Amino acid sequence: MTVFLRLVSNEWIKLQKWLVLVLLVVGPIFSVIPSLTMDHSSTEANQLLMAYSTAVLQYAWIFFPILTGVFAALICRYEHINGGWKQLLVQPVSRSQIYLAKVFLLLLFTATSQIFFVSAFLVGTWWYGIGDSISWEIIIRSAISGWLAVLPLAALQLWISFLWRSFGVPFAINIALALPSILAAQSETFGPYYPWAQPMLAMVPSEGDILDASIKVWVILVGILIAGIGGWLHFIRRDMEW
Amino acid sequence: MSNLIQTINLTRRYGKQIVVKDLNLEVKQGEVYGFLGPNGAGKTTTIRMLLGLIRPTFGEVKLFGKPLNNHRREVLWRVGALVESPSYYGHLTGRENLEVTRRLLGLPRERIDEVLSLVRLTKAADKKVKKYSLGMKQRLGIASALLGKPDLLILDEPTNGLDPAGIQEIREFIMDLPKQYGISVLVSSHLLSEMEQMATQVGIIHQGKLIFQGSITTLQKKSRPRIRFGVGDPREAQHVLQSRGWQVSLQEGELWIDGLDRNATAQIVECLVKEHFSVYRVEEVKPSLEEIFLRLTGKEESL
Ligand SMILES: Nc1ncnc2c1ncn2[C@@H]1O[C@H](COP(=O)(O)OP(=O)(O)OP(=O)(O)O)[C@@H](O)[C@H]1O
Ligand SMILES: [Mg+2]
Repeated sequence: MTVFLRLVSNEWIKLQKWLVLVLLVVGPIFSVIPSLTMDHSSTEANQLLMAYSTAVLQYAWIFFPILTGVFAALICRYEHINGGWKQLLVQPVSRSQIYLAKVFLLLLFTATSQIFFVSAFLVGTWWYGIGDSISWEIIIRSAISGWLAVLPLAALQLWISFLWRSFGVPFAINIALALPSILAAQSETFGPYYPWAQPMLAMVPSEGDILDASIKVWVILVGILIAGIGGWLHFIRRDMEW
Repeated sequence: MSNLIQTINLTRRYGKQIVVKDLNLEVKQGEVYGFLGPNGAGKTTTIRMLLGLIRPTFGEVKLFGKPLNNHRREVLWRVGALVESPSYYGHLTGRENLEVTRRLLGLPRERIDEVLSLVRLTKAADKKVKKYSLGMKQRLGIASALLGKPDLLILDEPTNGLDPAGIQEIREFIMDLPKQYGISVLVSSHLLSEMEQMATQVGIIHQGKLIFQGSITTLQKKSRPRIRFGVGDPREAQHVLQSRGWQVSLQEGELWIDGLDRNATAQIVECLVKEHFSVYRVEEVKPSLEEIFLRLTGKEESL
């Protein structure tokens, strides 16, 4: 456990905090502001709920999945660029613990991103003075569901980041697969199984339980297990040549 | 004395190419073991296997008498390493780079200043490492390897890319490690002259195979000295000696004979004097390590 904490605190030293902050702020701002300034008055429905749905669409379609990929790449980047892996892997710590420390950081980032998104939305509604009220519960449930639903993707992205040294390749793959997720999400048979569409589907506001909306919990769990175990096995077994 | 490093038929294949073949290294306590070989010989590949960065295709690594594959963490506590080009976090300062390793190993804070002064980086400690010169990065790498007070230091071409003064400094530093700090060293290089200066034991690897392992002096003894004769009228003298069955070569006006012992040398001098040649010089010439190496590999290629 102490080794794990030391590894996490080292990840923290290495991290360029300003960069993380910029990344965390961009998505919420660019999804929340348009959604709140948009005119929703043509519908009978709750204005705020409409605005939230629009914001979720923006945020969870592009920003959240791509940000997750960028974070995964960032976490590996410091080792990738100047031979850091061989330095880290000759230390008397197990590779599994290093993997777990990286995973932990990714969990932290994605959760923080959700907190930023929700906060931005709340601050925005106050700022623009939108009258209707919305149940807190719905928003919090949506944020938590979205976070859980991004985990298979996060594990997959971490795996991809181990494979490629460059920042560009994983980033391009990520965008190419994130863009069609809005189409994938339309399909009830395919959408729930497509990792890039899962956060969006999970964040659609609903009255049910967490992850009740349109994705089954077991789908997410299986996704986490496959991508997590795959990435972990790859990491602990790989030949470290860089 | 016990072996700090022992490899048993260590073999590594990349695709069809066997890069390291049946290597049996033995590095003992208190030695500076020079791991010598030309470019592409398999030095870095071997060192990666010693540290568990890559896995052998076949064979075994033992460090401190324990098999690496199930005692990796335990033995790596006692090893400091620098593999190939230096590793660093460029956006952090030298001190912060060391702090990362220090925390991981749970060492006291003072240790950072100690190793910084050991490698003479104290002044540059708070500069970002991306602004360091290559030599400074190498020294930071060595500092980081020394941080955990290892019993064994594994350095892969630590003088690569340094200027002559830097090279000399690192060599002297390495030579002192066993005596001053009780640290045994395995250091790789493709320069024989470098090994002559700092190593006590040598292993020579060529095309993945260990072609020599032993002390530097054994290596030098392995090839017998040649005797050089300075003689008046060398051409005529060569004829006379050849007619009596000696293998004599004539180079730049002097006669050279391989592998003579004392008796044979005396016989030749006697013979020359009796034939009224003036003998003004008899000299034993030890081959350079370069020449020894060429003889071991049987190849006239330069390192
Ligand atoms: N990942 C790899 N895939 C394929 N071949 C490799 C790989 N790594 C090394 N080799 C090959 O193995 C051989 C030995 O390489 P190695 O880096 O161990 O040599 P070296 O002795 O360290 O050389 P140098 O003095 O240039 O550092 C080379 O022919 C190299 O091409
Ligand atoms: Mg090498």
